[in-house]
Amino acid sequence: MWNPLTLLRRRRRSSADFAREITEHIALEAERLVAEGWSLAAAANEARRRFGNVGAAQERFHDARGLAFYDEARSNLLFAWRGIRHRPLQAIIVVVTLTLGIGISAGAFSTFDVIAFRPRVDASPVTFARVFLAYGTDSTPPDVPAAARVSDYLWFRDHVHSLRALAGWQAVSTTVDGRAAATHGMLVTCEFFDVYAPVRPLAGRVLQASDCASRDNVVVISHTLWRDVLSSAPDVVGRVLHINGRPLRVVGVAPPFSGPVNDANFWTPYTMRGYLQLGDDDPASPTALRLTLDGRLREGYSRSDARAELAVLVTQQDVLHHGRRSSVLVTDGSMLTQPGNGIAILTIVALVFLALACLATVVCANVTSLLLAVAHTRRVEMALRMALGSGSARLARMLLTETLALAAIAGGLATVVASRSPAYLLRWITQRELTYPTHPNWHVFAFLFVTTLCASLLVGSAPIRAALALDLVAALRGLTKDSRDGHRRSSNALMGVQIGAAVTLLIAAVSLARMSARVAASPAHLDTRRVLALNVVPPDRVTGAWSAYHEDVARTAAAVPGVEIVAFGSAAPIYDARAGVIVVTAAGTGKHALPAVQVSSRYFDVFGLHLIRGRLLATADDNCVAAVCPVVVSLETVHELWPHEDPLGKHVRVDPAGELEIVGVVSDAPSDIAARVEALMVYQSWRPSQRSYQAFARFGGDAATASHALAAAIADHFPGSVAAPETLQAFLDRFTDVFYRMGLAVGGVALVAATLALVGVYGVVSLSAKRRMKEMGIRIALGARDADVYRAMLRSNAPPVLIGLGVGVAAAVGLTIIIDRLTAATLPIPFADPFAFWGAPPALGVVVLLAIAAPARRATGAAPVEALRQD
Amino acid sequence: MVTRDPLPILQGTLDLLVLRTLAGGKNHGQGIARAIQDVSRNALLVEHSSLYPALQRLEEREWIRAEWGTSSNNRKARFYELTAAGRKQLAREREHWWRFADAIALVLGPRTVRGT
Repeated sequence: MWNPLTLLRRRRRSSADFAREITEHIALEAERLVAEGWSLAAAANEARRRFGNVGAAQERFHDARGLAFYDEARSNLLFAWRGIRHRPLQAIIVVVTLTLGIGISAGAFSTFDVIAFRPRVDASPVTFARVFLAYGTDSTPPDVPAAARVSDYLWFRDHVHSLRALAGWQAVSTTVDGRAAATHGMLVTCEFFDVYAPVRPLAGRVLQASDCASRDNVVVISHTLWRDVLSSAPDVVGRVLHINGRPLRVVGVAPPFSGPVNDANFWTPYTMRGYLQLGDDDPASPTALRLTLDGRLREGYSRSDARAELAVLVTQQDVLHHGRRSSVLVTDGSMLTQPGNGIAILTIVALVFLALACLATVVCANVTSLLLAVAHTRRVEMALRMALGSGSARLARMLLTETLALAAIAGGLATVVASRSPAYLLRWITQRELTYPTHPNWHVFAFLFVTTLCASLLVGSAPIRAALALDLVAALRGLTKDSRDGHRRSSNALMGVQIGAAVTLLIAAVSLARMSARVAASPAHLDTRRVLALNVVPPDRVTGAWSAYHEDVARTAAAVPGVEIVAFGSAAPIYDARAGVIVVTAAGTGKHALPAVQVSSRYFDVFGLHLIRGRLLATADDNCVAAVCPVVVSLETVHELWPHEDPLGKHVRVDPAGELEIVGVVSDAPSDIAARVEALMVYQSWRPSQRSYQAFARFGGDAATASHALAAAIADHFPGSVAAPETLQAFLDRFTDVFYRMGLAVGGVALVAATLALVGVYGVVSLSAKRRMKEMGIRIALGARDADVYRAMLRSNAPPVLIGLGVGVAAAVGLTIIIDRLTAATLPIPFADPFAFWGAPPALGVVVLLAIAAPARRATGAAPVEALRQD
Repeated sequence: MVTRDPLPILQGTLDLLVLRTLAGGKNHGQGIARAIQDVSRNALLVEHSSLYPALQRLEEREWIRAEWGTSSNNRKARFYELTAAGRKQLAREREHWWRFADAIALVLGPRTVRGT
């Protein structure tokens, strides 16, 4: 087997041997010639002549050993080391700049990798598989792949061979005695801990197959729940915990581990669903349990093997369900591969990487400028090397090695940034503890390697070209005779690129950071500070008695001091993901998908939505069973459907069946600067007897006081129930806070980019001023004033700055248009911030002018006599 | 008498010549170069410096091995000798050469005296 160490060892012996062998060879030949009658001196000369070129022989010998590469690499590294030692300041600046660029990019990549590109499992992610099922019928195509029916899970679990373990789970939110807020937990199949292994319990045991089979009332709790609710009691195993008001026996405490649900606090068999009043146990019910399936591949099997096998198994199940047609999707469990996520995530990633590309551009342009300046100072050295016979390729390799060495140091430092940043960044942005692994994997190291290599090639190529394009004679005489126009063009291009990238980033950062202030400055047209969403988790499922429950909640809440009105709805009019969508067909306008909420009659009063035309919904409209049900629509909906007609009395058909009549028009809820699409809303009358609705209370006085009083009243009146009242404003603040923090993070990156760009501009202008000292001296000698010198410097440097600013703003416009399209339904206001566009470019422009002014000031001090003396 | 200039070694034949020379016993580089020249009655001229890459190549292929020794006139020299693998290789190369030479001879036809 080839071993480089053996090669090196042999090389050391042979190098010494070879020299000795040649010496002995020539001596032997000389002795032979002496024996033939040659004189000693003549024999020695002849022997050397007959041997031929000793150097060439040594070189051939060396090349044949394949060691020329190592020797050259060694001497290139020595050259790089000498360069770093002689110009330590430049080397440090290059390393720091590249570290910032590579580190920030790799940190962002690593963060995305943690969030979206890999499954949240602690061990062996390559064997992890998430299974989705898409159900359809003979006449309808399969839905979006999602969770599986229990019967399908059981069939898979018992028959699949390519997966060594297969578990199912469903996330739930329940009450837990001793906790004031709703607690996240999971209904799981008893193989769950086999898939998410190794999970060694801190106490007791994890779930086992018999727990699911026997329908034992057991639960495994998290270490957090153990600590917070049971005060880390050592006798926790066997204690009873009330979940949703039902007693469950604790059989174990799980340590922190990466699971599919963040901050899950308990895991109980899925067979407990009915007992815990979390839904039907009837598998035929439309609300029957659906399980998300996670598995582990058996050794030697791939995900496509598993998919193929499960596809066969699900077809067997389809036979049992008349008319059913199902398909299987097996993914690696990452957020990216989850059905429906791919395009959205990739778009976000693309946008973030666009921002990072801006930073990378600035960094590379900056370092290139610096290396070009260094190349300028080294032109005599390069010319000497070329004159002494170093070929262009050899010189290029030497210079590239120097850049590679600097980039490698930066890459090494960036690795530390990439390793640490995801955990810090995510914790800071979300303000929560992370429950999944954040250490970098091979994706991150591959990214780092490629980025470092690309960076060194990018920043190294221009200085190498400049070094190789030397006029030898001029350079050796110490003259600068390289192409002035060419140099100026490249300097201007670098300056423009840096300014453009920096301004794009600055606009994005200002837009993000100002989002919360903009939301606050243009409030929604409803009172977000005086309405509390009660967020009640009901204690039990109250089959057939939801009306009474709603009445009870309304009575209890209304009795709380400060509460003025209580209403119910399926969601809040804005910022609420629980709002549904209905597809309506209005005569002559075609189909429209419109957001819709089901509301009680006082809903409009609670939120302060004003009646514009017609009437509001009344109690008599509740539980509508008529062929045509009354609805109220927002003003924007009227503009969308009947821009020039009276909407009152209009009928719309609703898919799949039903008809609605417009009886009233209310004001739009979102703020004036929100995307118009957010103002679309259809208010349908609620069906209080059919399901649980969210309660909303309008209150007077302090929000915190009202919130505590309401939570206490609900907990008192409905034992085992929890309420977590929150104003819409609080939700909005939390939402915009994330954007504010993201803005600060991007702002930090933008600040780094802008600083680097300014340093780059300063460097370019400084170099240009230095080169033009003679010209300026002559101008001054001819009577130019300081203002003329400033003007001359500005005239030559302003165009790239202006072009850069223009291109940067254009790029930012494109970026914000894309972001606004993507986030129209998510962000409360448009991403595009006029202030950012009017503020950031001029601010940067002013600072750039200052960066130009400083070297220009030096140029005004050019001595005319000195200038005229130079040849 | 017509003096003939020595012939340069045909490309690819130096390995064969070295192996054949060493078949007669171990020898050092200078000895090998001299032997080829002497045996070919000075018809073949071995450029001494080009001999060493060939020796190195053969050694790496383990057809020959080398060790330092003392020459007949009491000088240190690196002596090369054929290995078993080298002997087999020599046989192969000889066979190959003769087939090649026969084929060339067939193409060129019978040898004639120059000028007739």
